[in-house]
Amino acid sequence: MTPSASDPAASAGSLPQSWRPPVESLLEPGEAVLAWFQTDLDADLRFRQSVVVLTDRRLLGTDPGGVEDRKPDRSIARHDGAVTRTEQWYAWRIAADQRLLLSDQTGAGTLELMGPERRLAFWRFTSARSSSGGAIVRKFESLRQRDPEAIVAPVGGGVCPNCGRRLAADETECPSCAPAAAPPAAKSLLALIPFARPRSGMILLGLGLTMASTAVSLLPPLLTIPLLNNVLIPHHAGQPLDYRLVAWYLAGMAGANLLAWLLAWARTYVLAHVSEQVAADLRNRTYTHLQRLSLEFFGGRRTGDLISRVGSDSDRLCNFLSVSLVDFIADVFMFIMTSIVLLSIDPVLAIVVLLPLPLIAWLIQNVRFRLRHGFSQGYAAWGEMISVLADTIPGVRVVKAFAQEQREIDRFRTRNEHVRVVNNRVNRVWSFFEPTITLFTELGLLVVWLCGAWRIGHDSISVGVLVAFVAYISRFYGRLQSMSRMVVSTQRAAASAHRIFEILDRVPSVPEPARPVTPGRLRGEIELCDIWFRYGTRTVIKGIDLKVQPGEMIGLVGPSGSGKSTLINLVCRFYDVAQGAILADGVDIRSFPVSEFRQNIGIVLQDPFLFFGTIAENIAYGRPDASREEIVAAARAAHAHEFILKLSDGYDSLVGERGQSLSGGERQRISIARALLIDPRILILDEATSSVDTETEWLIQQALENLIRGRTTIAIAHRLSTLRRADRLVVMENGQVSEIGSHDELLAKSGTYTRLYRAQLQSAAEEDVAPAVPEVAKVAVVD
Amino acid sequence: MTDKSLAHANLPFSLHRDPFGRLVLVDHDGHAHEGVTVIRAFPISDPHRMVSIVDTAGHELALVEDLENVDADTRLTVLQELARREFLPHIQRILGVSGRIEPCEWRVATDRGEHRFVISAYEDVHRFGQHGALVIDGEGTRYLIPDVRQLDRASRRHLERYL
Repeated sequence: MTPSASDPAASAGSLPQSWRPPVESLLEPGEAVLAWFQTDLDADLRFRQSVVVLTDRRLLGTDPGGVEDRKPDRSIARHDGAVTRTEQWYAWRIAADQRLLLSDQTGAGTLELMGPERRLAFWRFTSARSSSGGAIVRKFESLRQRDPEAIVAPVGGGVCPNCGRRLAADETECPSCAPAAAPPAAKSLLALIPFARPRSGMILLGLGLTMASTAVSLLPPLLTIPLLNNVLIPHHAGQPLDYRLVAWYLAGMAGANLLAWLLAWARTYVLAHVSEQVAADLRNRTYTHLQRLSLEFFGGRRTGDLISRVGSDSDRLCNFLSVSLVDFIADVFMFIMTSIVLLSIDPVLAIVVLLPLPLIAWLIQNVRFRLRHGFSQGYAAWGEMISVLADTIPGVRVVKAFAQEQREIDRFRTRNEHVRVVNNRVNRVWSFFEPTITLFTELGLLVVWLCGAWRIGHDSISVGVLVAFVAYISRFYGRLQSMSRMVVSTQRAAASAHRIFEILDRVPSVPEPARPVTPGRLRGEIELCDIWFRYGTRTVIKGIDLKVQPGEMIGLVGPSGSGKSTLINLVCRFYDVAQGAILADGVDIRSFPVSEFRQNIGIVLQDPFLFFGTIAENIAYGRPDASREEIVAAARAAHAHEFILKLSDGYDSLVGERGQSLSGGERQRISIARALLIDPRILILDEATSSVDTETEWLIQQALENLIRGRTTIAIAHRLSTLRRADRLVVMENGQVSEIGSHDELLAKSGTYTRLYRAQLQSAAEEDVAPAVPEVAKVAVVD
Repeated sequence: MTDKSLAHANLPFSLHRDPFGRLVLVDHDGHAHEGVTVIRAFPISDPHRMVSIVDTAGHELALVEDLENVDADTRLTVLQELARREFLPHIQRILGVSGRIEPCEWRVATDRGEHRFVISAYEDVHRFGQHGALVIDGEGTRYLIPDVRQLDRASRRHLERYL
């Protein structure tokens, strides 16, 4: 008994907060909670939280199904947040002839307590919960068999009682079982502010210049007033023309225009410069974040879509910031200053000019909603059309092979028509909007002439003032028009910002540890402790336990879909296990910083990817600082040296996309050299020889010999001959380990392995390809 | 395997549930298969035809081509089992969405009660058939909206952006 077993209250402490009081009130003296499982559906598959708690002597549970014949033991009210609900508690004493079964169907799973003659109770849950149910089942099993290990309460023992994850010494709550924080609230264009903050100095300078250039550009119309009133009108009345004054006024206007031009130039440059920088920062941040995201994210995305988010969307934002936003700010200044000037010259006429404003504002507001709606529909339609292209262009061979060109053309045509219809709807709104604004402008002008003529008739204002007003008003409404255009570009930019922040706000599903442990150079011991994993609702790894000694080579064998590749992805931490733990040198790999852990791992994949660059660069991909000698040594050990020398530029030959093409076997040996160079402690071979012919396979085998030596190796191979050096073969079936042993031991069992082996011997014999058969046959003799 | 299951398809069989809650299929030879599962081959496009009964290893024991053509007891057992197995909540109203950007939390009223879930990506809300929509949450659970036009205005507005 652990100390916690004598203190029931402490052992219930691992439960989620709201369940603690009811469970504590039910526990008998000395009874300790060993494991618990929270379910989220009732027996009729309606959403409802329940809990099943395993203690050292009983199974307790709320609201089970299949208990129509008995009354609940207790009914207890529970407070969860603001909600209080009453739950019916049932308890069963654990007996040796009981079983606890967990099954996972599509969509909803079941946990069943079976008695000797019938089912005693069951609970239902969604697939979200299913992978955390393994712990309670295992504990129950060892408890009913009176396994002494089971009596050890996991509480405080460093294992999460819900999902089996090893906890760090000071963690009391499992980070993956703690309720997930609410997702962040939506961000809009305002989310760009943090990106603009480091450039605030430049931005202020730009705004200052904007204000100055706007103010200066208002001077020329102002100078028309004295020009008319003091020179032209008196000349009309018979006075001689004062050429000196005319020259002064014109020079003033020209000077103001020149200054406005200079200031506008400076302003545009400064603000465009800043927004270019902001956009570049945004691109960098997005790409950096993208690289940190786990494979899970990329699995569900189209490459083209991601490229366009980092590329075009950030560019669209930059355009918005540097052109539309700058114009908008200038417009607002112009608008305010013009209003002030007009009011100071003649308040009555100014009010007449400003009168249509509320009407126009209302119109803009009204149209804005229609436009936003229209644009988002347009984008969606466009996306659907693009996805037809993304589907059929890469699959064009299939389309042609089945002679379905016409069907694909029709499919595209339908989508394209949809785009046209949707855009047409927006255009209808838009085409009405612009001329309407123009109409208002012209009407406003008419009203000013009318009012101005009337007031001149009453000698309230001079002709000069009226002319200045007319000059201002065309600018005034012109600005209004461009401000309304701003509405459109804001909506577009907001859509782009949304797409970028969708990436930036994504939390990597392989999180960096809060308190990292530095792995340093591992010894290479790997231990899988009851690991579970699922893709969506499909559980692909179901409770695997395996211990691999440092330097040992494990061959993974099994039919396709048995979970071999998934297991390897979990060991590499491309994904995190749903339940259980993977330990490297006795430490949960989730406590290592991801990149430091991966430095200990070398991977050779079925179809190795070469980046554009020289062969030397490709070999040194994992260690860019490697010397030429080291690169050559690695290539030599990988049996790649000689074919590399045959290439026109030796190690400097360009490969990858646009580069020289290499055969599958050659690329494979380069990737082996790549793995050799980083000198990993743990080596992963995923079908490293399956895409090449048997002769090339022999060459690769030779290269692999050098690579495997002294390293912990996990290898997947369809050709069993590849695994002839394996210390142990692990046969996987249906997400579980079905057999473990050496080649001979497994043959003696005449189980799955024997079946696979025979099938391969046969097909190899039929193919009549000599090298593969002796390889395998040799194993049987040698081992 | 295909040939064998097709041969099985038209042979008589009976279904019942044992005290362990398991479904038992007794085939025409009188052989009992315990713990069989009932699976619709076309759960959405044609749910009442092509219902397969498979054993624990996933091998097909019988294929009911049309539920109308079997006796009432078997039909009832099959339908009960399907109701027990199939979990596809129908969203009746979208009560709230935490934000316009994924991941965002949805609060919905379904035919199975109120529920909250997280949508992890824009692509997880699909158009489904002519007027329907299929929503997949971050845990892989699926939710169906049989006809978007039947939703209230507020719910439709939340969906609009996706469809």
